[in-house]
Parts: sequence; C-alpha cells; structure tokens
Amino acid sequence: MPPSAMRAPSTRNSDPGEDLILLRRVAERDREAFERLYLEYHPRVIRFLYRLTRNTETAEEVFNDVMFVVWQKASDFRGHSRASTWILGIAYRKGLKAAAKARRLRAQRPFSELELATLQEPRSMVDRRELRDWVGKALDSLPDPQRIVIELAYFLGHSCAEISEIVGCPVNTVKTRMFHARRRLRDLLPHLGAPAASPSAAEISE
Amino acid sequence: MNQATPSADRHSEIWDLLPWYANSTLSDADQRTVEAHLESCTECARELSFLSGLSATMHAEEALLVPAERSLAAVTGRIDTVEAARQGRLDWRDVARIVRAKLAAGGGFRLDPALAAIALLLIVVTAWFGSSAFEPEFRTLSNVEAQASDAEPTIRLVFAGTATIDELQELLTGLGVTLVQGPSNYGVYTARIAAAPNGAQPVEVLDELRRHPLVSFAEPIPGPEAPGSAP
Ligand SMILES: [Zn+2]
Repeated sequence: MPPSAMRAPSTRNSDPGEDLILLRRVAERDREAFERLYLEYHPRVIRFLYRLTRNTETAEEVFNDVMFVVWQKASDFRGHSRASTWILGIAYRKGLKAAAKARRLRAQRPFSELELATLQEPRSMVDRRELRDWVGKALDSLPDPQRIVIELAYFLGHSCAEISEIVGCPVNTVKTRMFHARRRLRDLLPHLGAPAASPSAAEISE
Repeated sequence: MNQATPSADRHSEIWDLLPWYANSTLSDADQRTVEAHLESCTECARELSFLSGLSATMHAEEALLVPAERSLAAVTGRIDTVEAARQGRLDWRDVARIVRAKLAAGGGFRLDPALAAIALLLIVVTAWFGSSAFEPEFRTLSNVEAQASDAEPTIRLVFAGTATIDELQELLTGLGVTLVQGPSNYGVYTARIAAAPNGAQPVEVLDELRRHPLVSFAEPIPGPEAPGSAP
C-alpha cells in the first residue's frame, strides 16, 4: 500500500468560488443565499462543534450564533481568505468558549497518572467503538488550543496555513501546537496505527 | 555533507511535515519530498501510520443526526428581529414613551418583565449596529407615522407553556387576533389585531392579552397604528 493511500479524505468539500458569491449575496441581505450557506455548513460545522462540546444542543446553539454573526458581518468579509476559512474562524472562536464551558460543566479533568497506568488502550482495531472512545478521551486530555488544531487538521482536513488563518495565529504557533499534541497523543495511544494494525506492503504480498 | 546522508539530514524537517502529509494538504513538491524520505526512514513511516490511525479513528465517529431545518428556523427568527429593528419597526423611542406613560400613570413604577425584555433587546441591537442604527436613514416612529398605512396593529406574543391549542384558538378568536408568523425558536409569535368581535380597541385587546393567564408576553411591534400609539 503506497503511503498516500493511507491519507485522510478531506472534508473541505465546498466550492470556494461558490461560497464567496453566497457570502457577497448575504452581505446584501439575501435570505436565500444565507439559507444555502447555512445548509451547506450545517453538517460539518455542527459535527466539529459537537466534537468540541459533546453536546448536540450546545453544538446547534453555537452554530446558530456563528451563522448569526455571518449574517451580520458578511459585509466585513474582504475576501483576503477563503469564505470557509472566515466562517470556520468564527466557529473556532465560539467553539473554544463553548468547549471551555462544556468542560467546566462536565467537571472534566485530564487522566491521572494512576488512570494512565491502570487503563489499557485497546490493542485491537476490531473494537472500533472502544478505540474511538479511547481516542476521544486522549483528545479530551489535550489543552483546547492543541485539541482544536488536531480537530481542524484531522476532522475537517485543513492545511497548516488554513488553520493559522482560522485560529488567527502564526503558522509557527500551529506547528508548535501540533508538535505538542502529537507527542501527548503518542504517549496516550502507543498502539494506534502500530504495525499490527496496518500491515506493511511486504506483509500483504507475502 | 548534505549529499552524504540526505535523508538523515531532512528527518526532523520531514517529521514536522508528516501531520500535513497525513491529511493530504501538502503541496505536490512537499508531498514528493515526504514520500521519498518515507522509503528509507522507518521512524517516519511509523509516525505516519500513527497519524493515519488517529485520522481514521476520528473519521469513524458515528454520524450525528441534527436536522438543519429546525435550527435554521431558529436563526431566521433572530434575523427577523434584528432586521425589524434595523428597519425601524422597533425603536428605543417607543420604549422611552412606554416608560414615560407608565410613570405618568402614577403610583409606583414596576418594571414590566416584557418591557425589560424589549429594553434589553434594544440595548443589544444598539450594541450590534452601533450608533449607525439610529442615524437619520433609520426609520423611526415619527417618520413611520407620517406614512399613510392601513396596516393592522402587529404584536409579538408568547404563550404560557400550559396553553393548549384549543384554548389558544378560543382566546385569539374571541379577541380578533390572528397569528401571522411563528413560533420562533424562542416561542415568539407575530400576530395581528383585527377588529375585535366585541368592538374593543387594539389597546384594550392588548391589555386583555397581557392580563390573560395563558399569555406570558404581549408587546406591540411599533409601526403604523401600533396599539400602543393608537389614539
Ligand atoms: Zn524520518
């Protein structure tokens, strides 16, 4: 299997030119354009926000706050970035706040060293649900800014430069956050993607 | 030196590119560089396998079914409200006038929760739009009044959670009130006061609605012949 075959599918599925036109129309208070933009962004942004807050209602509320800002501020959009980057930037800022609040409400705390020692990472890729839960716990243990870089890269499929625009920080900051997030995740998930789970091309052709 | 061990020299550089190789967002040139390095570096190949596993697991999340239509209706309701304010159908002058009227009516002034809600809304609207909201091109009550219109008075209504459809129908029919829009996500209806069967004036109808146990909010939407400003 060539390495490229293992790469994640991108979820950046909107047409940048189309989005820009819709956003310009929204700036002129075109309701139909707004609804189209709303329905286009709803699935992935709701899922992104749900991943950050673990609460469907919160995700819906935050998404509506995001789109309400889009309605009000569309005329401020100057087209220096992609429309999707601009919208996700709003979702990022609101999602970050909501995630912090959700964390407080759940009174969530990171893994203790004892839990780390006693919990067993699922070694089998067979139990995908268990694996997913485990990855979810590991992601939850990251500081929000690092977590969001991972979500933007792997859940929404954005590039480093795009994330820097969405988050509104220098590219180097994104790289640093990615670096620390990877290190932490590797410590928590040592068997994820281990050779046993992904046999090499040589093993397969044997 | 570089020529002796090119891949070893590039290891840390490639290592930093791997997360972006794993999500297919590298430029073609960077992608080729990574692929060339991966052929000879098992450490990077292992890291890529880890990142790909992470990505695949994150994508395996069960589909979240949240119907868009319901939330779209909610945000549309919010937009309706601010757009109404932008177009001058809701103006701070109306709130000031209502407050003055209440004060003039004598006795202690109790801040009506409904009035407080409108005042709060106006404060928020003002903050959103800044001072531009109240510049001359913004339609105010005075220039709206100057326009001839035979529109029926429009109000916003919220019913008590205990109200049944039958009870509401009976109440509204009796007062000649027609729902024209709603409910918004916050349960707000827009309604028109037509001629009441008992000949009551819109102001009286509004008072009756406010006093009714099934109604938790009834306020005019200031505009032509709004009940609050009817003679
Ligand atoms: Zn390497």
